Amino acid sequence: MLKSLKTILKILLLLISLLAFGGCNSHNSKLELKNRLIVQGIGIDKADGQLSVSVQALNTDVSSNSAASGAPDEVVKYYCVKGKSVSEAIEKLSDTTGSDPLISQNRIVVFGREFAQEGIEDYLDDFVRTTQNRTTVYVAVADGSAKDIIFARLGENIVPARRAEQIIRSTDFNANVVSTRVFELLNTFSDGTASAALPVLKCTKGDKTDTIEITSTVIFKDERLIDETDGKIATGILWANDRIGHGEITFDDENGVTITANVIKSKTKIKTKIKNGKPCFDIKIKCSLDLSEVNKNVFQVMELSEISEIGSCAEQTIKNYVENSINECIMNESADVFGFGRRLKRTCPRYYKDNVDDWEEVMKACEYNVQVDVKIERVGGSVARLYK
Amino acid sequence: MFKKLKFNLDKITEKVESSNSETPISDSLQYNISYLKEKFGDSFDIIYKYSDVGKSKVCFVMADGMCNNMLVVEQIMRPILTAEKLPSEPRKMLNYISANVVAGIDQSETQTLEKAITDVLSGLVVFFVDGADLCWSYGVQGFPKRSIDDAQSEIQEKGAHEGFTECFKDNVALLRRRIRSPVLKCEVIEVGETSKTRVCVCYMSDRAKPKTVKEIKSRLKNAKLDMVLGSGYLRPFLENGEFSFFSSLGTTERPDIACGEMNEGRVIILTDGTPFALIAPYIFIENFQTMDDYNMRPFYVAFIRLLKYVSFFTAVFLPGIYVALCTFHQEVLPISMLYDMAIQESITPFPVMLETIFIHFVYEIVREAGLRMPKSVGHAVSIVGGLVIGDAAVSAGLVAAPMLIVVAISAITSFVVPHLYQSVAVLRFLLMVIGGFFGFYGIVICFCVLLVDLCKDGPYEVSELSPLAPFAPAAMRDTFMRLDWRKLGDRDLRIQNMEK
Amino acid sequence: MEKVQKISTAQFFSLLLLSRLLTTLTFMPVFKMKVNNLDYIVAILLGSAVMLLFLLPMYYLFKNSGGKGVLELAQDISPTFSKVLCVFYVAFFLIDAYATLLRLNLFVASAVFPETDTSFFILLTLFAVCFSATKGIEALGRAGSISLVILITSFVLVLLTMLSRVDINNLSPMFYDGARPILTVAWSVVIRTTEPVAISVMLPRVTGNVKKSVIIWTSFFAIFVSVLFFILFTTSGDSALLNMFPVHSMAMLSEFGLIERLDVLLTGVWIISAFIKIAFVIYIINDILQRSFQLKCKGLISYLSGALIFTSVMLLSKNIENFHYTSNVAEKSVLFILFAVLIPCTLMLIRKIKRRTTC
Repeated sequence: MLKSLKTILKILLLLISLLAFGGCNSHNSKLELKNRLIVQGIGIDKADGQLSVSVQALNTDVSSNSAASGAPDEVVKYYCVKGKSVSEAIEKLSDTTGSDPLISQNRIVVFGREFAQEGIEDYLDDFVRTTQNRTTVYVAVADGSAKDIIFARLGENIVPARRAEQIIRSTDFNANVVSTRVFELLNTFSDGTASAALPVLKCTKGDKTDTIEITSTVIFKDERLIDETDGKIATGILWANDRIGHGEITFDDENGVTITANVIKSKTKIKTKIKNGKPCFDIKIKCSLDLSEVNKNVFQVMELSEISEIGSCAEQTIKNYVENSINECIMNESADVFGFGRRLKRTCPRYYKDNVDDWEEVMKACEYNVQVDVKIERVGGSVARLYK
Repeated sequence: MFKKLKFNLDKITEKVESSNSETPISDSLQYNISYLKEKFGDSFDIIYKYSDVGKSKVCFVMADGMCNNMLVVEQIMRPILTAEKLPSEPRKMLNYISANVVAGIDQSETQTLEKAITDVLSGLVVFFVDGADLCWSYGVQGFPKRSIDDAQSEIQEKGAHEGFTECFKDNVALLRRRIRSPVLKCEVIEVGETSKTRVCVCYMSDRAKPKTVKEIKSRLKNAKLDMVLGSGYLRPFLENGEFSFFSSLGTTERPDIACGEMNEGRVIILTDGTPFALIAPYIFIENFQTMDDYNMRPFYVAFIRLLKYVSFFTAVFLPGIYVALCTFHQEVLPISMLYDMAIQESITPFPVMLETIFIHFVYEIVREAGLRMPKSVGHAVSIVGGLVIGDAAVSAGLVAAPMLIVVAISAITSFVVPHLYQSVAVLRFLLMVIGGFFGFYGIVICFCVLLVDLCKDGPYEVSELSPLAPFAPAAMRDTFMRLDWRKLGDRDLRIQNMEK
Repeated sequence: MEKVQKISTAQFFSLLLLSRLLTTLTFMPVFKMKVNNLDYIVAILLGSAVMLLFLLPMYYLFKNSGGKGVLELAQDISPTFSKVLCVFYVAFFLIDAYATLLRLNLFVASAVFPETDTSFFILLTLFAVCFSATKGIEALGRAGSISLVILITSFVLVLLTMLSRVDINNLSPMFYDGARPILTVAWSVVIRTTEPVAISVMLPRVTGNVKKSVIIWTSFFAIFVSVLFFILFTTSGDSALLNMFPVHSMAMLSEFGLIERLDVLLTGVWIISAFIKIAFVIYIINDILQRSFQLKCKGLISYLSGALIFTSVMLLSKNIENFHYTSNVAEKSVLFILFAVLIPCTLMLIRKIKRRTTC
């Protein structure tokens, strides 16, 4: 009898499995790659009291004209949808495309300037709650509307969102661009004292193709855009936050000669202490430079003394960058983009706890000592008298 | 109600009746020969040669084609028929002839007619004397057999070029040549009620576990089979009886591998009529070991073994993972790859899972056809398979090009570990279906089930996943890599040590 | 008579470690009070030490009784008492398996198949689990040890890819909100440990040095999870605590060259550990019922247990609010103290009294 019972159970299980597979199949066909809209860029603006979400997606439809080559005519397609929330707007994409949006391959999120000025905190929930979203996506602010950036046409076979992402990622090898990812933005906003810095993207329309570039950096405080700064401030922020990987810095020496040096490596350490009843931040920057260009007579051999002078000038330049960025962000805008509040919380929690409510005033009264130590590691390929 | 669910086997088949009765040899020659003629019927190849030796009537019985006629004449007939001064008493005469007249060494006394029948059918000449209640069998086998050739299924670059043949005595000789020690034991058991196939159990008595040898012999003796025409017939009786994708018995066509296995305490089962020897117990890791591994340098062996493991996992999991990634986990794929795949898949009419199953099925058909068809038309299969199915299917938009690449990689990698081809071929399909319905996580569940199945004890109290689980550090020297022979040959590596 | 299967301490504690890691890795930061990120790390270390203390009664009982588990000792007292105790333990393990499966269901539905009904996936998992449970403790032990190696290797890979993003400033100061959050989380670490109960019934099936293995198990767990949480909080900061499954969110951030979203790999590894854990629990149910009631239908008990657990999950998981039944601290505390502390201590006391009366 047990054997017969086992046979019945096996048959039942088989029937249930067949039903299960039947039920799954209709959903699976929806999930098939051919039925997905591969989103590459999302832009968020506000219009008529609703969110206007611009979407850039890969065009995977092979048209009849290009059936022979097997490739679609245009590599991206553009959509603009409206909704009360980001999720609702993105879901509406399927109304026009008939495909289920695939957000997990998204490269960039752009906020429109006006939208950013009103505040973005209420709309960040989608990035945490929807698991399809990648929180490693880069975030930027548009010079005008986010739609301009997302709808840019950069040329055949160029995906604008990927180009924009590449531009923001250039922070790895240049010292002018501040880059922030969604999870870093969320981390900054979760701390009550910190502020974020985001790059500004501008799209310049051309006859046939457009151009995207980073023009400036904006400061976010309390999830709201409050200020726009230039590239030098961005450089100072990068130095202070130890985000300089590589990059070129240009400065003049005492004789007015323009020198450009490449940063080989850099390390910033910030020590926090309480001095005379107020916080004191000692910012020590150590970096190694390699000379790229010295704008003077190329036939003149560089002397050892010149090299040390160049080092001193570089130190002063970097120090100016950092001090100017501290002045601009903290003194003028009361925006702690450097994470000083967080450092103070970690090292002097009691002081922080007593003064966190007045942090805006406290940070203006803090002492910031910037010390830079530059080593000219190499002088490039040109000859130099490396001996006394 | 439950009775109706049972398949009524009695209506379809009849139970095989085994006759275990033994008829003693009578002292009447006529009775004995009549019995044999009744059993053999009108078989043309059974020859009965009557003669007179001394004062007694004698009869030689043999199967034409099974004996070497020259030896029959020179070693048996001529000496007996020309023998002088033979004892008159039939029994004594028979024993005298066997001891002093017949030239061959292979002689045995037979008491029963059933044994006599078996001897005739085994290529021996059976000699009856009227008045003697026994007979003698003389071994003069000369049946047609294949010469020793390369092992077709296990090609080795640096190993010997000898393989087992269908004659188990020759196979035993191949083993004896390699292990010239009295510890090598070869015991014969007859299996199969009708075929009475001789199965030889070979082992090294100082290495194999006596319990294992006893268990194997017991299972073979209790195997209820009528005909044994291949070693595969014996498999289910030597395994645990539970279904598993991976067998706990190994096979080999090579005597050097068989000797290597016996050295590690395994038992080799040679079946008469099959060039494939069975190995018991057999662990999973051994599927990835070949004779070449022990003839090549250790660093290269490590590379090749890694290649084999990677190939095995690729062959089994790649199609399923491809289906799962395309259907459920598109976020894992790099964007450029995803874009190309999306374009290709947008042209094809079928879902990815069906496409994968279809193309793999077609590949299996082409493979099987190539295996069975005559060699003269074999090249046509490759043309049809490669050009027509592959290229034309992509051009027609039936399948996507990345899919064909996946099939090709999966197919090639499955041949890197030929011992596991059967498991790989079926598991591939299972994983494709599971990947298509449940994604990568369904594949993970399947992997877990296979892992637990492999971790269970085999039929001879050895875990199939030894020495990984239970972990035996000493045995790891010949798992993912092979240590130098100076260290490897330092101590023995018996299978029972892996439990320590 | 069927041979009693035994496994080594290494295999047994691999199973327990997998089981414990699964609970921790799918933890949800849903405490009533605000807990800072560094508090979690301190709480794990403290909780592990407390867990070790709670194992003492069990160990003492095992050592003094000559290697007997709680059911064997109950059998010595009275067969009826052993049967009643067996029923209680079966209920405990059914609840444990139900809670694990419910959490797995929530995890799979939230992170893995958010757009699909996960019922059939759970059914497939449970069927596979019941099948594996019938293979015996040796097969499970060996599979557990291999799965543990896979889990640790995967996590080490993910952690290595995250190292470049470590920023110490993301850590909160220690004891910032006092000791209360740390003690709350530490207690939660202790009571979510169902492994001491498994130890109490399964120790007779284990051969080897138990004391050494327990210490290694606890230490490894404490160190591994502390390092994991350290990397989690130094890379993601407080934003990690916004996610329902913070460890999974960390895996979502990991990248290796062209391959992004390594969480797919990690989630697969998680499912392996969940599989082994539930199979182990179902095996324990099967084993203790067979031992106490001398039942012979091994496979049937496993499948029936699986069917019961599946039905409970399907009936009770439709509403997310019902999930709190498995997270409730009070209920968990009662169960833990009863099965991990009270019952072993009671048995110890009864045994002592019996010894005195017989002497």
